[in-house]
Amino acid sequence: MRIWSQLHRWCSLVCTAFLLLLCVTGLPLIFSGEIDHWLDHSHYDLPQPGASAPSLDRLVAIGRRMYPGQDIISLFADDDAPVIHMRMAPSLAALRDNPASEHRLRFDAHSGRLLGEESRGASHSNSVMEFLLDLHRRLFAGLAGELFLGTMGLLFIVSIVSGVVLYGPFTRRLDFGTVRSRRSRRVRWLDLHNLLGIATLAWALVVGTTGVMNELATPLFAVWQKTEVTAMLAPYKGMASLDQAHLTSPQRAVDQALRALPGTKMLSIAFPDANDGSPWHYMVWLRGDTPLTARLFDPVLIDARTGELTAVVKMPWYLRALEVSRPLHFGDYGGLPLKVLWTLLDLATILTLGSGLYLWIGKRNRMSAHAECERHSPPSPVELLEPAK
Amino acid sequence: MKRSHATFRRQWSWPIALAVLTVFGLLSALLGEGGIWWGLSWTALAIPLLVIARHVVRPVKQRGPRHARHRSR
Repeated sequence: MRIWSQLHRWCSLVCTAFLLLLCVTGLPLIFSGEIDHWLDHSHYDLPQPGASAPSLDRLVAIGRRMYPGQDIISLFADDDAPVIHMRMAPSLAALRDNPASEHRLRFDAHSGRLLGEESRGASHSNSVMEFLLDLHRRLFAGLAGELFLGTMGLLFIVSIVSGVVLYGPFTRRLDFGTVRSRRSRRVRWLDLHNLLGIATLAWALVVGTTGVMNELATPLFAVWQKTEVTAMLAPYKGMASLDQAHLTSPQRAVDQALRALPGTKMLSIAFPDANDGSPWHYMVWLRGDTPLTARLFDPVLIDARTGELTAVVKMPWYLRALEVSRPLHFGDYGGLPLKVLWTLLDLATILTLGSGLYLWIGKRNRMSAHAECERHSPPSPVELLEPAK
Repeated sequence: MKRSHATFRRQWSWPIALAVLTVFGLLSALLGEGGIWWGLSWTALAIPLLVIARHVVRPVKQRGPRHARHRSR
C-alpha cells in the first residue's frame, strides 16, 4: 500500500502542472468548432436542395482563368467550414525552391463561389485556436513536445490507477460519496478528492488514454506515410511531373476513388508532383463519413492521364485502431450537450488535480512540523492522510 | 468472508456503476450516430456529475439510514 501511495503521489506531482495546463487549454478547444464559426465572418451559401456539390473541374477552371500558366498543387476540404481550398504556385519547381510562393483560393463548398484569396502564412481568423491547440498538443515544441506530453499523459494514467487502488483503504469505513463537512477543511478536501476522482474515473482514463494515443498517432502516421506511401510511389521515382495541360478531370479522379472506397468522402486531391507525391498520379485522400471513421485517412492513386485507378493504400490495423479511438478525446461527436458535459467533466478533473495538490502541500507542512517534534518516528504518510474513523 | 464481500459491495458498487455508465455514454454517441443514442449518451454522462453535485451540495451523513436506501436502488 505504501508503494501505491508513493506511486500516486510522485506520478501525480510530476504531471499535475502539465495536466492542469492541458485541462485549462482543453476547455476552449472543446468548443473550437463553435468559436471558429463565431470568429469567421465569411458568409457561406446554404446548400440548395437537390443540388450536387460544385464540380472540382469548375473550381480548377476558375483558378486557371485567374492565374493563367500557374500550377495547381492540391485541393482540400476545410475541417470546420464548408470551404474548399485550392493551393496554387507559379510552378511546382518554384514551389520547391521557394515555399512562400504558394497562394490559396477559397471556394464555397456548396455553391462553388470564390470566397477569397490568401497568401501562405496569412493570419487566419482562428489563429487563437491554433495557438491554443499548438500549446495543448506540443507545448510549441514540435515532436519533442508531443512525446513529452504523451509521457505526462502516461503518468496521469498511472496516477489514476494508483488512486483507484488507494481509494479502497481510504474509504473503507465510509459510505460512497461521504463528504465529512463537519471535520477539518483537510478532511473535507480529501473526501472531495476521493469523490471527484472516483466518479470521473472512467472519463479521465478514456480521455487520458486517447490523449496519449493522439500524441502517438501523429509520429506513427508520419512514419507510415514515409514507408508505405513512399513504397507505393517508388516505381515512379525520378520521373518528371506531367504537364498540367494534359491532365484528366480531377473530379472524375475523385469520383473514381470514392467508388473504390464506399462510405468515404474527399479530404484532398494532390495534383501530380515529382517532389511531393507521384509525378503521374492524382493522390486522392479519402476519409470516413461517420464520427467513428472520420479520422481514417486512405490514399488512392489515380492515373492522371487516363483517370484509371492505380492503387488503394489501407492504413495498417494499429493506425486504424488509433484513429478510430481519437474522437473519444475530443467529445465533438455528440452534439452541443456532449460538449457541455465534456466541459463539466474537465472542470471536475481540474478540481481533482487541484485538491490533490492542496492535500500534498498540507501534508508536507504537517510532515515537517511532525519531523521537528519527533525526529525519530516519522509518521507514515498514509496515517497522516486520516483514513476514515 | 461474507463480511468482506458486503464491504466490497458497499464500497465499489457505486464507482463500478458510474464507470460502466460513463463508458456506455462515451460509446453510444460515437457508435450510435445520432437519434436516441445521443440522448442516452447525455443522460449516462450526466449521472456521474449529478451524483457528485448531490453529495457536495447536501453531504450525506456518515452511516445514516440512507445507506440502506442506496443499496436498494
